[in-house]
Amino acid sequence: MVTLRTIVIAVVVAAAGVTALFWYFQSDTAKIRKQFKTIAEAASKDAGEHELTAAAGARKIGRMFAENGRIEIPAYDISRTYAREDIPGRIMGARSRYSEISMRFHDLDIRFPSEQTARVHFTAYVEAVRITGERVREGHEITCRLEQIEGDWLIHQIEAVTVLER
Amino acid sequence: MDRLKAFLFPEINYRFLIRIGLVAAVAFVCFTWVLVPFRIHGHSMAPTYQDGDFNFCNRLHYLFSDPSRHDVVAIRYAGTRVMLLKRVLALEGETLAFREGRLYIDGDPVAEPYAAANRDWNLEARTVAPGHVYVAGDNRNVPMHTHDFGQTPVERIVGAPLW
Repeated sequence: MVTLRTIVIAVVVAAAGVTALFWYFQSDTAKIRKQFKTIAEAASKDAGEHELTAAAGARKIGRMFAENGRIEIPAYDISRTYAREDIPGRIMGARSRYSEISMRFHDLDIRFPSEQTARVHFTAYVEAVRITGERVREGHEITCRLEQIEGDWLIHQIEAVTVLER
Repeated sequence: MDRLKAFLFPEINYRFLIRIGLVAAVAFVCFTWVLVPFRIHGHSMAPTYQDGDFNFCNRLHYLFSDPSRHDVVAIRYAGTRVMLLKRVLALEGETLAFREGRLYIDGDPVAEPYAAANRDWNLEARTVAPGHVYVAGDNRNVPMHTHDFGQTPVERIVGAPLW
C-alpha cells in the first residue's frame, strides 16, 4: 500500500534527481549568464552596506577573473593588465566612492570562438549615488573574453566599446 | 445587457482563444520590433525630454531615409534594452565645432532653438567620418566634459522617438 510517507520520499528523490541533472547538464551559456548575474549582484550596493558584505562581494567577483588579464576602457584612458589578487582591492576602492550602486547587464550575447574560449558582448548599465550625493547614470557597451580553466569560465579580457567618439 | 455581459465575460471557446492569441502575437511584434517602449533616465536631452518621460522608439522611422540634422535619434549599445537619446548635429563629411557654446558646421553658425547656449562649450573643429553622424544632447547647461556626445556609426541608430 502506497503511504503518504512513500509519496513524499519519492517526490523528494525525484526533485533531487532533477536538480542534480540540471546542474550536471547546465550549458556553458547558462553558466556564463549566471556568472554575469552574480557579478552584477555583487557589484551592486545598498545604502549602509556593512564592510564585511562589501569585502565578500569583492572577493566573489575576484574569483571570476583569470590569474592575469587585460582591461581596455578608452573613455577613461584605461589600458592595462591586471592580476587576480588586485581585483578585490580595486573593486572595494571603486565602490567606496558611492553610497548606492545598482548594476545591471543587458542584451548578453554569448559566443564560443573555440571550445575553451567564450566572447560575451553586453551593455552594462550603472545607476549610483556618490558619497557627495550626486546621482550618476552610465551605460557602457562591453566585450569580455573568457577562458575555461579547470571547468570554470574566467574573465581574461574586458574591453569597453566606444559608442560616441568626440 | 446580454451583449455587455458577453463582452465582459466571453465564452471561452476555440474562436476566442484564436482571437486572444492573434492579439498577443500582434502586440508582441509591435512592441518588440516596431514601437519599442522606453523611459528616459537622466537630463541629457532636457528641456526637450525630461527625466522620467515615457515614449516609444519608432524603429521604422529611418527605413527609407537617413537621419538629418536636428533629428532626435535613439542609439543602441549592445542591444536595444539600453539606448542613448541624442540629437543629430552634423552629418558625414561635415566639420563641426563649438565656439562659446555656439554650434558651427563647416565654419558657419547654426541656430539651435532647442538648446540654451553655454559659453563654456568650446570644441576644436573635427570632421565627421564616413558612415557616421555627430550627436549631442540638448542640455548644454552642464560642463562639456560631463556630457556624452560625439560621432557614432549611422548603423547604431535604431529609430526616433514617436513624439
